[in-house]
Parts: sequence; structure tokens; C-alpha cells
Amino acid sequence: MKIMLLAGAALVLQLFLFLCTGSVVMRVRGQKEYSFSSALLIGYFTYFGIFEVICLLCEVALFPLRTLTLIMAVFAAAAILLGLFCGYRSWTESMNSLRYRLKLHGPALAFVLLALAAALLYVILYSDASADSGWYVGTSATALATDTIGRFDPSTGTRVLRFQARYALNCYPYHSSVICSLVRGLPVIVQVRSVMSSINVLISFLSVYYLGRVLFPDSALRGEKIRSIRERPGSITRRRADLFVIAVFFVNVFSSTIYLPGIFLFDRSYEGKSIILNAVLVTVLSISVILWREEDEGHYPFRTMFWVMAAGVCFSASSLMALILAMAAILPLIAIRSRWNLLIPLLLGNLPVIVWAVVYYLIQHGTIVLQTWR
Amino acid sequence: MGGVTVREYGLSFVRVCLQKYIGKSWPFLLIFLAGIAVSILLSVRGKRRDNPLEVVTVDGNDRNMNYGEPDYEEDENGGSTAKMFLSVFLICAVTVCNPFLVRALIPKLGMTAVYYRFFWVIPITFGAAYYLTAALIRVRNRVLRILAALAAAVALACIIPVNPGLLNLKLPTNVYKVDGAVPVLCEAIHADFETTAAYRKALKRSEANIDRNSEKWLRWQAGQYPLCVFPSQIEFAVRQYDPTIRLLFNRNLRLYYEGNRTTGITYDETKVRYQRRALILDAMYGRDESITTESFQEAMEKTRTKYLVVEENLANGGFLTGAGCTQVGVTAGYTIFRYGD
Repeated sequence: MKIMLLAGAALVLQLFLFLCTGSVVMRVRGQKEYSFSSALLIGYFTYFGIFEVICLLCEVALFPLRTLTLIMAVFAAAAILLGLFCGYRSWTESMNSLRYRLKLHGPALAFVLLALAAALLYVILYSDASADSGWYVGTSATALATDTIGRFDPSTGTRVLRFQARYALNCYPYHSSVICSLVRGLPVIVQVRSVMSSINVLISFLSVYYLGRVLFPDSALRGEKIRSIRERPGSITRRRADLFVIAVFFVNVFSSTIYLPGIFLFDRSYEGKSIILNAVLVTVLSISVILWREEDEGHYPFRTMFWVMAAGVCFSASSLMALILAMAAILPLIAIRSRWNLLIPLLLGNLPVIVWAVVYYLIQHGTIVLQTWR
Repeated sequence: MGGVTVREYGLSFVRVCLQKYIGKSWPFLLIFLAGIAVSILLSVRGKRRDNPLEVVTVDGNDRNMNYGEPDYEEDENGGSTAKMFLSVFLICAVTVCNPFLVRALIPKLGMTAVYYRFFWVIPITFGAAYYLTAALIRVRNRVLRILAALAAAVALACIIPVNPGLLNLKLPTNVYKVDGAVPVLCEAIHADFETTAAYRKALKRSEANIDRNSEKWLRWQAGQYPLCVFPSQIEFAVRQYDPTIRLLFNRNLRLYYEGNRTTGITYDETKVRYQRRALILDAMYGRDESITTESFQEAMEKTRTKYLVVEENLANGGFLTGAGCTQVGVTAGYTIFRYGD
């Protein structure tokens, strides 16, 4: 019972941290349209982008986990305080308009919430003792038990003399170690396989919902007389996005092989690969659609892309796929429409993965040697 | 993807991988591709019909100059989205899914086993869902739309099997979601290990002030925990639950020993390092009668293995106790043996 309460507390703490981080980012950007879901999504990616940088520096400097925990505790406290300051008014406004916004959705929202509840229940109940889970959970658990970052092999517990590029550069598992250091008494295995899985599923649903909003923009009834709430601005896009979320859920349920996104969403949601597949790639796709539609969003899409890519590096080496997707989706647009001015923002947006790829190559070929001892 | 290699399949490697990747979910790929084709067709037809060059105002002036930025109305048929999907598809076809390029590069990059991840770049799931939704919202009547959605769902559910993971749901017996034996075994091993000379030695070392960043500290830190071998069905859960238990086998080595080749990593079975580890497992289960007490003891000492956990009904107990192991206890259906004192 105590562990379940601690798990609940860790879940609320992390969601609130992401929400506050997102609120700060939205305020800094001066974004007018505020919603809890978009703040949560942006905050999630921004947090993991920042975490990657801090954790990687601590790892290479051979700092103990407690130092990383201290830094992240200070960061979290600052993010929460700033978030309260920046987001309080927006939160109040959002809560006041919640009823109206729910009405804009229509009955399909009930099915979306049902699908989300089913997915959450499934990932909380599902137990996976596969070889891969041994590595992911083992990494977090080993870091906490030894008070180190990446200096012991998670699958055996033996010392590692050199950091391996494939694993050392993706710091996502250490986030759970940090959380378990802060929430004393919460077992790492519960944080990774139940709490983080739930958060990742929620983020995945939000990413898909935003992709739906982008794919089905609010336009069809522009200029016509509004007769009911279903024809109000924002209603069409929301209702269609809800249908899209249900359709994606359906496709995931009927993913017949272990390589498709569905299996990663339901059975391996705690893994970095799953987040790449079900949140990072989805967000990159959303950004690409926005650019193809030539919506006037300024540099927001590329700024978002930067943090999504930085978070992608944190999650898994598979962030390379996000880079390939961004290039495959946006480079043709630049070439076809001669929008060469997008080239530099595109490169800057993808910079985290490009830098990661270069460092990875240099470590693999022995140009950079990162020892786990001095 | 287990068993699919560039060496074996050559230029058909990409095709075989795609077949394995998509499996019986091929209707989604079909919907995705058909959706792109139809969208582009509709978009081209729509553009011809509404060609701004043909639009002439009442006063006869060409409005083309004032056409401005395209807005959403123009994209009612998803033309730009389809173009984006098509771009991704074509670029992948000539790069990461190009059989010639893949044959040359993927083995060099060591990505044969994880090549399927490149298919993630092609948004089949989201593209198929997009076109399914787009088709549904074209049905204006609400009742007809619900009926069409149900019909499509039933038809697809009849063709495509359910996600294999969903069918394997087993309710957990504890909050850690591990086999109930794991916590019991870990506790029993720790309780016994704390009575050993090795543990006392480790405690003594911990009193010495060793630099945390030195290699010596790393060695000492690792050495203070018992090194064990568990049955394969629970081994991967052990260090998730209790990271203060060390394991002799790493993930890939254990999978290889058990005959699983999906990792794409192979081990040289003639190497002493592999042979010693395999010998311990063979001896635990009595798989090889030619194993002598001396060779077993040598393997245990060289690898510094302390505990062997075997299923109660499969344990080669007579041999193990005769070769210097002590039966620590029988718990949760498993027998724990300790080597040495």
C-alpha cells in the first residue's frame, strides 16, 4: 500500500513538473493559446532535453548519482516555482473554460478517454520480464544502488571500464533513478515499469491528439453562420482529432507483429524506443505537416523540434529515426517550394541528434575515449 | 529480426524485413498507400477545377495575382499531407530502404538485427489512421458514419490478428510485477551471503577510504555483492528487483546459450570464457555427464561464482554437493546452492 501511495505521489510530482516546465516555456515564447495538454507535452520534451545535458555532464565527470539528484532537485524546484508564477493565470483560465472546451469535443471524447484508461490500465498491469526490460530497469536500479551513473553493467552488475556510446549517451533511465532518490522508498522497478509507463502512454496519446489537430485543421465552416456549438471555432478540429486518436488506438490494437508501434506502446512503454516511436516521431510528423501546410507559426516548429530532438537523444539511440523522418519530410518541401530560408532552422532544430551522431561515431571509432575511472 | 541477415537474403533483405515487420497488418500499409494515391488524385483534380489561372473576376481581371498564401480550404483533400507522406515514402525508398545501399551499409554499421527500426520512419500506423479518419468524416450523415466505422472496424478485425502482446496479459502477483519467487530468493541469498567470509572481507574493505573515481573502488564496489546464476525464466527479473545481486551471464550471453539468436550477437564457443560459463549451466542441470568435479570447480573459482539457483525438480544436486557446493535452502520451488564457504 505504501509503495502504491509513493507511486501515485511520484506520478503527480512528475506530471506537475512537466506541466510547470511547459508553462514556463510557453510564457517565454509568448504563446497566447494555452492548454494543459500542450504545456504538458512541451514540458515533457523540454525537461528531458535539459535532463540529457545535465546528466551527460555528470556522467562524464564521474559525479555520483546524488550530485545529479541534487542538481535536478534544484532545477525541479525552480521549474515548479517559475511554472506556478507563469502558469497560474493560464491554469485558472483553462479551468474556467474547461466545460466549454469539453463541449467542443463531442461524444467521441468519451471513447478517447476510454481508450486512454484501457491503455493505462494495461501498462500498469502488464508485467514484462524480458531481456530488454532487464537492461532498462537494471540501468536505473544499478545507478541507484551504487550511487553512480553508468559505471556498472546493468545486466550483470560488474564494473564497466569504458562508457559505451550506445548506452552512455542516452540518459533517460537515470531520470527514474533520480526520482527514486527524491521519493524515498519508491522501488525503481515500480517507478520504471508502472509510473513512467503510465506517463509515457499519456504523452503518446497527447502527441497523437496534437497530430490529429494538425492533420484536421479547423477550417471547413469558415465564414459560415454558426448555428450550434459543433460549428464553433475549434470544434471541428477537436472532434476530428478525437476520431484520429481512436483510429490510431485501433491500429495499435491490431498491430500483428512485435516490430510495429502498437507492441511498443502497450508492452514496452517504459523503454526509450517506445517514446521515440509513439511520441517523438509523432511530434516530428506534426511539425512537418505544419510546415507543409505553410501555417504561419514563425520559428515555433523548429524550436519545438529542437527540444523534441534533444529529448529524443535522451530517450534512445533510435532518435536517429527522428532525424531521418525530419529530413525526409521537410527537405523535399524546401526543394519543391524553394524555401531555402528553412534550411538553417531545420539544421538547428535537428542539431541535438546531429551532435549525438557525431559524438557516437567518434566514441565508436576510439577518437573519444570515456573512461569510467580516473 | 531474428534469422534474417543480409548475407543470407542479399538484395531481398529489405523485402523480407518489411514482410516480417508488417506481418498480417498489411491492410494498414494498403490503406496508407491507397490514401496517398487517392489524395493526390483528388488534389490534382481539385486544382484543375479551381485553377486560379482560370478564375476571372466580373471585371475580367485575372485574380491570380491576388491569390496569396494557400489556406486550409485548398487542402480539403489532404493534398499537402499526402505529398509529405509521399516524400517520406520516396526518400526512404531510395535511401534507408534501398536494397543496394542496405546490402552495402547495414552489415558494416552492425544494424542487421535492428534494421526494422528504419521502417518506423514511414508513418504507416499514423498514415493509415489518418486516411481511415478522413474517409469516415466524408460520410456526412452521423448514423451512416457510425455504421461505416463499425463495418470498417469489424472487417479489419476479421483480417488482422490482435496485437500479440495484448493476448499475453498475466495479472501480476506483486507490486513489483516480477515472479513471486524473485524477492524470496534474493532475500535468502543475501541472508546467507552475510554469514560468509567474502562478505566480511568486503565489509572490512569498505572501512578503507578509497577514492570513488578509482578503478580499485569500482572493483571493490562490484565485489561486495554475491555473484549468482539463476534459471533463465527469472534471471532477467532479478537485477530489476534487486541490483545488489550480481549475475554471471549478461543478457546476450544468456540468450545465446539458450539458443536465441535474435540479438545478432554471436559468441566464440571455443573461447575459455564462454566454455566456463556454459559448463556451469550444464553442470547445474546435469546436461553434460562428461563434466568432472575438477573442471566444475575450476570454472566456479575462475568466474568467482558464489550462488547457483536451480529449479527444485531439475537440480543436479548430487553432483553439485559433491563438487563443493552447499545447499543453502529450498524456497519457492527453487534450490539455492552456495559454492565454497
